[in-house]
Amino acid sequence: MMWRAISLMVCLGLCACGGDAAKEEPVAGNNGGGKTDTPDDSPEDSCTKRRADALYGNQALFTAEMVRWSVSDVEGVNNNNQDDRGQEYCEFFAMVHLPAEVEDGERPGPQTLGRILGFEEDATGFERLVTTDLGYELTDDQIFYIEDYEDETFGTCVFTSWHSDVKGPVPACDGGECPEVLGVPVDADVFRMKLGTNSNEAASALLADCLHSDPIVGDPANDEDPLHSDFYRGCIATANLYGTEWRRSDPAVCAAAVRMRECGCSLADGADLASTLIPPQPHDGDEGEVEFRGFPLGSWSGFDKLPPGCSYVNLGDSSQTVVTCALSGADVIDHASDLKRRCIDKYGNDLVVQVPIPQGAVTCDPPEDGAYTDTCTDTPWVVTQ
Amino acid sequence: MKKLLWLTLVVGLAACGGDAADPDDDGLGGKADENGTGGISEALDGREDPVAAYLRKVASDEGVVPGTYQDVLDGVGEQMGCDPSTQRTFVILLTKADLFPRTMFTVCSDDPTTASQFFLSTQSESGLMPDVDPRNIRMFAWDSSARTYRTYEMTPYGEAGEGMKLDIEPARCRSCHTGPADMDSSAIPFSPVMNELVNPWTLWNAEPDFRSHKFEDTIDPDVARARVYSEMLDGRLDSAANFEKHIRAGMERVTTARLRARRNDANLGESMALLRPMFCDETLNYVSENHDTGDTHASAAIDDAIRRLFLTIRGDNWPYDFINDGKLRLPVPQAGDEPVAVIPVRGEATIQVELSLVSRRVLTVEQALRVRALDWKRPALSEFRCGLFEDAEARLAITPPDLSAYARNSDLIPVLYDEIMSGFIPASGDLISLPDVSSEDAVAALETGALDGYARTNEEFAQEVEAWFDELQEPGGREWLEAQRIERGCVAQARFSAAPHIPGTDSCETGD
Repeated sequence: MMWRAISLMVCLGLCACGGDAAKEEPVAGNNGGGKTDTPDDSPEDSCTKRRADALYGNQALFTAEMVRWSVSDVEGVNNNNQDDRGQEYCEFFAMVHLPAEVEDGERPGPQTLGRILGFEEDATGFERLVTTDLGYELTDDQIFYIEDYEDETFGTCVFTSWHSDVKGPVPACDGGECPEVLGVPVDADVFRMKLGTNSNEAASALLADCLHSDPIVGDPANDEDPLHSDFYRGCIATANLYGTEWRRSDPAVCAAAVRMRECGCSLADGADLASTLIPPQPHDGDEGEVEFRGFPLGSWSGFDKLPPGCSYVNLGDSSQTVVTCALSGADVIDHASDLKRRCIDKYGNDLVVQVPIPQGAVTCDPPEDGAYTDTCTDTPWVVTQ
Repeated sequence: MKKLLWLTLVVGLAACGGDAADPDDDGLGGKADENGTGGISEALDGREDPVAAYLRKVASDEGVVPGTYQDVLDGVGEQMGCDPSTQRTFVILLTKADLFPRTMFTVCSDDPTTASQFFLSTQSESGLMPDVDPRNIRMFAWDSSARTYRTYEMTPYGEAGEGMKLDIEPARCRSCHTGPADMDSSAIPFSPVMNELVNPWTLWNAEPDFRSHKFEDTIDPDVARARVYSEMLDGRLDSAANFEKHIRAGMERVTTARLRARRNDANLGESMALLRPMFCDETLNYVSENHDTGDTHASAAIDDAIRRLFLTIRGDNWPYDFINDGKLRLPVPQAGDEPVAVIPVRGEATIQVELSLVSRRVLTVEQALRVRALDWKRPALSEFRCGLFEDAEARLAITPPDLSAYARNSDLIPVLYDEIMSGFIPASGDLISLPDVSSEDAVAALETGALDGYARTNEEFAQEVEAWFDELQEPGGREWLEAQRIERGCVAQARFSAAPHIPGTDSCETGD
């Protein structure tokens, strides 16, 4: 079910893409079995873990102003078979600009590492996700140079939440020249997400489907039924709809949406909630301005704050969708086999993806006969149990 | 409050300490006015760190510095080109000081690399109880020329609160930052300490980014309301999550500087000093279950160096969760279960030296894994592994190698490695996998030297570790971790002066 769901979501993304975007986003397929690169827990086990993370840990996923989660993938998402990291509406990769291989030699150009390129059919017909090279080899001279010039920048991490189906270029490229990150222009080809699951339409479909999902009710005679947990019901709804309950993001979004439905929430002006929270955006080749490039990135300390070492890339808008985070010389030397992993280990828990909620515009009128009406608050999407 | 007594702690940045990295700097210890006739300028001679630059401007010849911590923070920040708005405060409660808060400060705090050049902390000794004394502070600052941290202490001076008395390279805190008490620490550089380096940073303030783990419900309300303490936090209180980044950046500075010794002319002492962290734990860290999630850093059970070494072999296509995730997922604690807290693990600074020897190609990843495979179910504080090093050290003292055969330490180190690991380099396979050297089978095999049955390829070793990793995530895993916590905790309390109080280790401390 999981892979069917992923294919569906990729399709949702693809169907939205026209022109060049369609060419660079092949369709995902089955990964061929074996120990997978995404979790293979049962929905119940996954939802138990996600509930523990969301409610029993030390991160506040749900606030009156937003739903949020860390960009770090859950355990079980990895690069075995193929590199599936970047499941949380945020893709990431590393960049290096290494010194010359030999003293007084020519410095090589900058390089992206582990950046998702798309899908490619292998010899068995399996559609495999492909990325740029993951690692690099350093010469002794390069190691000495990096050690000796520890204040220079040789590498950086890039985190992007620019939805894969939202058109480029960014406004900052208006004059024809885009701003650069470590010598690489900030264009859609490199800095926009690639997975169909990380698209505006996929996110919007998830939210809409959860808002209109069938009611799930725990056994009234069993106080211990996990379905009495607000988060757990949303998570199981995610499993029923998409089979992506193992993620951080989808169950969080769905739990908030299910609570909005259970508590009769709507926008005061009658507008559609899903398309207000995640407004449809023009694709490549479409007319119109981009108003919602992707979910804004921030940190647990604030909507527009970032962890130390990180900064927003100036896209010419206020989208907060591309962030770079510093890597030290030691990082570049010690993690040459997979610098991308270093990025997520170093920053993944502190950098967050955020879905803003216009709290003042949402009103809730809980149904009198709802199974969970008695626990509705003014902001029921702030899930606490 | 009774429950709090068992709470562990982290002596956060047990500031201070004095590793006079330059052996010629023998006149810097003690109060500044006791350092000879040259006064402060002579005492600071040769120092190229931001605190020294600040002191040259403000300290009197007698070593008196005007003002309080705030003046120092502003002044050093100015030397570093840091805007005052980038000052941040971090707080930990010290178990060894009746849970009194230690406040720590950084400048240029949006950039860990720059911030790690300077740390300032207040002390638990205070004449203003229950408030923090703003004139009792310790600092260390990075000397980019000498590639070492320089340490300073200031204590209240003058009956009318005129300022602070300066002490350069105070010796009394050295033990906290330079290895265990029973180890020759002369070759261990001063390094930042943050005992609980990973989430949930028990007894650190983790707000505003994260919910704190036993901080808000533990701090003395009188202290929390005290004037100076409140001022220190006002508008700049930051999360332990961010302090972790500054500390790690500081550790990287120290490790990178330490590894430069591999380029030096071959020298037995220097080479052995670089090898020692592979075998003997120079530092420890402490990890805890993340509140009630069951989520625990895997280093509690499996040396994180094993995971990182496998990832050095190749960055992808590992079918093992312990390599890919680095996270141990215990069953969620049930009613009556206490989350596992404060488990000693191998120190990050120690691991960094080992991994750096590999990344700089002094040793191969296979050589490093061979060490890690010995007594691997005892990821920290293995007497067996350290014994191999100490035995070899004794042999080499009697029969040293002919240094003329080696140009650099990087040439000598592999030879010394072979000497230490004599008997544990397999004839076939990649390594000898001894999960627990105290097991009956292992004891017998070690006595006879019949270790062929323990030879494994790296892949087979990874499979063994993965099986153990899976087992630990079953219900019995929590009990094993709890037993390990006490076993390692007793050793940590006895040997590491920077160790926090580890709940449940009181009886071993008294020998009961």
